Amino acid sequence: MSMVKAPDIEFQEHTLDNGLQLLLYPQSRVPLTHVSVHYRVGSSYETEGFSGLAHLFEHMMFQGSANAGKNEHGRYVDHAGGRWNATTSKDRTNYYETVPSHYLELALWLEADRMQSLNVTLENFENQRQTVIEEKKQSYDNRPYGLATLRFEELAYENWAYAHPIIGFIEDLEKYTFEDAADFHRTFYGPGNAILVLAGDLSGIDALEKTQEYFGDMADHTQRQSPRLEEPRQTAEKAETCQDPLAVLPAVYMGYHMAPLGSPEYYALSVLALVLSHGESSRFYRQFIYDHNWITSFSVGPNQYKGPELFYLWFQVQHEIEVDQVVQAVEDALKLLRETPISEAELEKAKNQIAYRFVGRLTKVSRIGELLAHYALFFDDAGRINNDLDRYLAVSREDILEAAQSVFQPENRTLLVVEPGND
Amino acid sequence: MEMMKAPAPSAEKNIHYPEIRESRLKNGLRILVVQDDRLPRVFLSLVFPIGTVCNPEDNLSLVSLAMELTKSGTDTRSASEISNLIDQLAIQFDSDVLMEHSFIGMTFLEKELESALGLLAEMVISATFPVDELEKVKVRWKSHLIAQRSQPDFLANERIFKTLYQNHPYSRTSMTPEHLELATRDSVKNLYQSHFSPQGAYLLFAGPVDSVTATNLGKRFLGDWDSKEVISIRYPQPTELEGRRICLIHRPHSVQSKLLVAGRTLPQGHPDSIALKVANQILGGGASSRLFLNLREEKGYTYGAYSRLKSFRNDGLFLAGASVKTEVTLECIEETLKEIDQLTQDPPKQEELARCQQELIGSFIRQMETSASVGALELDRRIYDLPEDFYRTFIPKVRSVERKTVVEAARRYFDPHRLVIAVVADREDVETKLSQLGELQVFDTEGNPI
Repeated sequence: MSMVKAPDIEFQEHTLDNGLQLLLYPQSRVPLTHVSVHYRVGSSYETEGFSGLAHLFEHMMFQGSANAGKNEHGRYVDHAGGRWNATTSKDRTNYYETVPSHYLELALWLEADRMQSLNVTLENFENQRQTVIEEKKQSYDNRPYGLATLRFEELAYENWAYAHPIIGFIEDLEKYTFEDAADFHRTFYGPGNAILVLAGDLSGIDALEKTQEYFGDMADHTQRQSPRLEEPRQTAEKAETCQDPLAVLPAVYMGYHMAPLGSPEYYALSVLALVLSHGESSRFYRQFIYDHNWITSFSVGPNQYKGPELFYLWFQVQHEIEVDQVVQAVEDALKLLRETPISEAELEKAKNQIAYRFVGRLTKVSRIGELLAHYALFFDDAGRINNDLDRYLAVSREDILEAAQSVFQPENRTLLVVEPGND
Repeated sequence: MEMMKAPAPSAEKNIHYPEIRESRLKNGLRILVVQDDRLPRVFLSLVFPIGTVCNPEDNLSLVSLAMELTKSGTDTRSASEISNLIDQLAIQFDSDVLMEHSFIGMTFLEKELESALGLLAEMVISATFPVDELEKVKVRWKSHLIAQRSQPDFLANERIFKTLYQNHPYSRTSMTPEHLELATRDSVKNLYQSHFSPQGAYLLFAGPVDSVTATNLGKRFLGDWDSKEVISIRYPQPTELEGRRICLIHRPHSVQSKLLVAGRTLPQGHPDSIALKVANQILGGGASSRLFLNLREEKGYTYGAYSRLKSFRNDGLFLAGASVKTEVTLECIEETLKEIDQLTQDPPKQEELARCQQELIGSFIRQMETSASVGALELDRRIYDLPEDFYRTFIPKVRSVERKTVVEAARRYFDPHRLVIAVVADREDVETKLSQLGELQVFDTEGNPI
């Protein structure tokens, strides 16, 4: 099998005295630079009663700092013609802007300013928690399957760290105080708990020296923490049915606990996910949509958390098709995977798709910057960007069989069925 | 303590406009090449000037079915064999039918170029439109048509287009299950044969391919594709909307209101389009825009409020909207109308204008980053007959927009008295209050008046 190798990403890595990790990736074909700060805090770092704080700060971080007023962070970047945003996951939070490269220094100044002197004020806190409550309504409460998606994680994970929603429980959002938010901020947001990535056009500037200038004098007050993510072994199936008045078709959520990101099991099941679900020739598309039309759409694969993963299967069931029939057919398909290795042709196809994806990840400097940070955060090894593909390509049919046997066991399954209606 | 000033930008760097080469085959197919050797990956796109407007009035499913069925069987391959080959070659496949054009896109590793192009050619030249595949597609699509009626965004959008464009082809945003029911193999095949042709079509190569290779490959795989005169589609200028229409789409159990306000603007390539883009950017083009700052940052009524422009060959529209707290639906509409009105009254401040200009420029520079997005822009330019220098002069044209040009454009095209307001919500929660705005037309999620 001839595999195309993506060009190696040549980057530099530095650590400032205050603990800030710096990753530099110069590439100056287009005059754009991506600046991204990743904080080692996500919803899994929260404690019970304080859900949603990491995500709330995704909002608070735009509410102003010592030298940039409320909403001015975004306005400065807009004024430069840049694009900015922030995202929160279970395991980390990131803040980024992609700017025309002659505004690189502005981006550094802005990120340094809010890292050092964010306006954590009562007024901003109150206003942003209202916005987040509306965000929750828009993204979950008013969407078909929105609340079910949150319920499913709660059901599957025993450990609260991954079980609770990133956006938080409304009860918590309404209850905790401004002081709670300020404490959270002190603990996690500072140079010692962050990675700064500069990717793109760095020509005409000494990026390390500039970073030193803006971030170097900042004192660090953070406490780096590693949340306890261990999940007890599941010994009996968990199953539930719920109703969704916004849904017009039933849906099925299934999850199987599996090993963490980066484990041999993770690579084996990631390859398997493609065999099951990628493209119209995949097993599930062929059987459930093309041949029988039992389902309308689906998604399958490891959920990409840093800690204990869940192999996730989601199906939207076609009108007038029994949900039980779909659940049984999926179970039969997984049983087959426990008993019989996938074919050589299936394996080769999946590996071609992975090789394609790895090249596709390198089309934009923003994407490359985010990948470097991902590998640095989750593996303490940004260089993994250049050899991670090899781990997927090394997966054998036997590895997949073994992983399927260990993971797809009936007692390891979490099942949530969503029915339309609200009787 | 005095605030420190933001660092000034360094000298602006030049933007490299990728060169676009063009050639034309004897059958009329035009080949465009954006060569980019950075990565071993190619984007191919075959674009036809055939969109949903080309559907017969009584069946809005035919163009989409014709496009879909090109991958459902050819003289030498079954649907299963085609999908297997697409996946084996790791082709990222995408096809769609938009208002006035349609495309088949394939992205893949460079080494698969000949195989992928060979497959694409086979699909468009020798599609067989098997009847059993047609029936399978119909069943699959019907459930999507049902599911989309639970989505507030779809419902609001559909109502806007229907109200703004009445009986004009632009009003036809979605097929119905009945249309699918009526479609036969012959009707689909006939539509394909009478409309899809290398005449008027473009084949784009973006990636490590030079123009000589692209032309030779085009000739080899698509040179024998029969050229025929295609039926040219003509449709009238849409009629003007008079007054303001308020539509409520009753979606039971909604926990928010989806709000969309829209009005007619101008067609693609109109001389005022750049000034209008700037005006829209001020109104709702991003998170520093007036709508966003008002409805989200000041009032906390919504997670986000935006406006955007859409334009077609003969017309265009602006759409401003948000998903808002149910109890403040009316206030949000009033604030939106107020912001629109404000924009038509006073010129923006210089600082706000400069920011919005730079936002548009920055977004344009980001589109220069990949050869696929440069190619996509170029295809748009061709489809809408925009001037040759449209993109090369885009940045200076944006920079030349003045404060008074913005307010003039807003006055001309954002008329707060001639627009459609669509609200998707549970009628019990909002109907009484919304009636204050004027006469209300109420619809169910199927689009029927109630």
